[in-house]
Amino acid sequence: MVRRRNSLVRHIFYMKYTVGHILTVGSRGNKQKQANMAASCRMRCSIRSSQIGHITRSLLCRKHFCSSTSTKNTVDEEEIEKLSRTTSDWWNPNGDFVALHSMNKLRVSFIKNSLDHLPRQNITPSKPLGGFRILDVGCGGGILSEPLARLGAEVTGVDASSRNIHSALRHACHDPMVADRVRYKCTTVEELAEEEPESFDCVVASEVIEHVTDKDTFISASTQLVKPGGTLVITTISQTALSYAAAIVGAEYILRLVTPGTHDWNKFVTVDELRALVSQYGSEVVDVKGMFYVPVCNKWCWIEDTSVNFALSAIKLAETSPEMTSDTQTTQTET
Amino acid sequence: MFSSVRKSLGCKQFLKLRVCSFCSAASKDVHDFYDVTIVGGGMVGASLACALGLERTLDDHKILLLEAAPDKPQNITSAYSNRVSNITPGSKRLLESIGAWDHICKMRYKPFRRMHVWDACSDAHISFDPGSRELDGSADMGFIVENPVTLAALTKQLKTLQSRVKVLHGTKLKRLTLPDLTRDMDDKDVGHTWASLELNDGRTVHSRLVIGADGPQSLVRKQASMDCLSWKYDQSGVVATLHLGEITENIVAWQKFLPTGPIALLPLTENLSSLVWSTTPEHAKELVSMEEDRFVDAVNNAFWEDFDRNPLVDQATRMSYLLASFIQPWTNVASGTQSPPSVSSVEEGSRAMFPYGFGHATEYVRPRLALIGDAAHRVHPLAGQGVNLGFGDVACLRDVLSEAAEEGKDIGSLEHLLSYETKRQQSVVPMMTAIDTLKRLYSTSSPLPVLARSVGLIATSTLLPIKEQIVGFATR
Repeated sequence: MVRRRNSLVRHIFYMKYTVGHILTVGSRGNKQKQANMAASCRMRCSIRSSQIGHITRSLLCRKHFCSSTSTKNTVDEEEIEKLSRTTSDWWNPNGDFVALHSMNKLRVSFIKNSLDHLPRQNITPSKPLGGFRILDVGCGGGILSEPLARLGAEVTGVDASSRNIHSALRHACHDPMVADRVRYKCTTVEELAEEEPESFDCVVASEVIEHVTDKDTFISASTQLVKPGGTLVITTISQTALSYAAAIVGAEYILRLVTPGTHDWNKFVTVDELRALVSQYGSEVVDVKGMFYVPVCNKWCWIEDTSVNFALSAIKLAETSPEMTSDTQTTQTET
Repeated sequence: MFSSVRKSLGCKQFLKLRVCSFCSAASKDVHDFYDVTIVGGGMVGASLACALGLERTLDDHKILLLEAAPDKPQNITSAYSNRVSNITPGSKRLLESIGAWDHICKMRYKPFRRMHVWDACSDAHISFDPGSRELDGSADMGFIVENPVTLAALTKQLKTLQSRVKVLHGTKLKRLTLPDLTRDMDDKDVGHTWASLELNDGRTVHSRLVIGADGPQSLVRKQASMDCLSWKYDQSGVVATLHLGEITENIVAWQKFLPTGPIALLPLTENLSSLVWSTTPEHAKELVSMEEDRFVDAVNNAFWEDFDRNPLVDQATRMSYLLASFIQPWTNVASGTQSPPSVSSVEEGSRAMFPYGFGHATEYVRPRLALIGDAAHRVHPLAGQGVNLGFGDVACLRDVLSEAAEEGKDIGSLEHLLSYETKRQQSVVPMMTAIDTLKRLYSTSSPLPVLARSVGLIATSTLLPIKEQIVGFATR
């Protein structure tokens, strides 16, 4: 408690100058705090103090909420630490996330297609997603949220790392095409599922589930957030020998496309497991596609084979009666 | 204690962003933010403005066109302009797609079916026509359109797009600042996210993407400190509108390579043609200032007069034609019946001269910046390709930006602009190399190069597949 008060006093003192510092307020170890403070010094920014108050409020509330909540948490603290980056890291055109940027070509169109069956309201040629509410789970720096917002969707990005949310906010606020349509929140799907159940036309968990330990809870909460008839879109890495070779040995250690240690093969999930899991929570898998990355030209393309990267879209059935669930499950096992 | 404070602050608020309250630079003058700013409202710049304005996937993007010239109605008078361009079928397709071709048709243009090229230093000649492979179902090789007509058509089309494209006349760029990518994104003011353009009227405009279409001396290119490989040619162009001696169909573009430079006669109407004469700067000055009668004589002489021939070259040319007639006995490749029309007089006050140069920007794009047209590449007009390369840029950039917008990308980001650069350089560099090589090859009268080019020309004219390739290349 004392430590908290100290840090709060200090952060009021620094409020005008740093935001990064504020973000680090919390119950972390001293060493870590120092490191974070060093980082926060770099993050000087020009946001008005009233706005800082706004951010702080939200973030503090989150801390409070997290400590008091009894919701099962699928977020792994280690993973948060590993995947917390600054705006520069997320948006550097030559940085760690180039492959994630170029993946947008596939996943944006995949998300667009997955919503084809829903009635459209405010569609214009430049806003094919107009009127849709989309949740981007594990939004990171907003690499996927921003394109979706530009295409007209009302995007909510959630991420368990406050640093990522801060990065995403900083980047999005510059762009008038994005800023009005996107909101970011430092929370987890489980928490959000309690607050806003069935409120999204589409829930996207792109390159997230491979970092999640409790996949059951994650899928259950994600499905809960989808409106009946809406879609759940997941892209991830399969748990195969080939994916170990490609995503970990190849991408992390040989080509260094991703920082070594980013992925844990044991947390990967195979297509069949994910199919079963999604069906179990009352969604019908409608599309599964393999994705292939060509590092030399930094391009992704669709392939048949789903043994490394794949994308899956499912429609949440209107009635999630147990019979139906078991039905889909049996068809699943038959196939 | 703290929990109560937190509660009073209100729990679980979303970080909903509002540009107006959150951002500084972009919001301070939100009216001066444009998604695309095109600097230079010439034929290429204006056609890009039309193209982007009509692109459905970009219908939420604000477009600004900066034009240094004042806004004055462009009346196409009965007098023909001395500045004309060869519009290839490929460029015509672009102009059709942006709705400007209809306006051109309502004004005036002249299609030509054949291009006849010959050498002053030998009997070698070649005739290009669409031949078997009709271009888009028409037998037209290209269209001669006066530049003011094209510009008027584009202006007319831009008027219909007023809601999408804002045109600022009489406005020049003073300073361009591009975002510095090496900086830490967490470190600086948000205003540095966009390109900012300081205008001569004191305003500052922020833009997601700046397009430099401001010609060979591009200020945009200089301000971005992009390197440009350039040199001046030892030639100047003399242009004039000429009256022909007789009324003919006038569907052939004529070009003769003199050792001092090529002279070309481009059809305008049944009895009017436009002259483009490339020659030494001294001679050009002389031509522009001499009496009209003498000028007409000079033009006729240039087309009809034979230069001192080297007997060896003549012999070789004859042999080549003999050989060619064996390869292609069904066509008379050596037929020398084609001859240009004779010129009777020159339109008063239509003579003008301008210098030639070569220029190629080593890079066409930067984050939030792209160069098009002469700002990126300037060529010798001997092949009539300058503006067509520019229109090619427009078509390519439109497609690239439209695709980027479809993917929800920030259209100013480098990733897709690089693909524009790659695609265009693949077309532009071979064309520029070819034109520059032709210019050098034909700027001499010493026997060896003359021999080589004569035999080469005859070979090209005999080997139809090669010839068709060239026609295809030049009419893209």
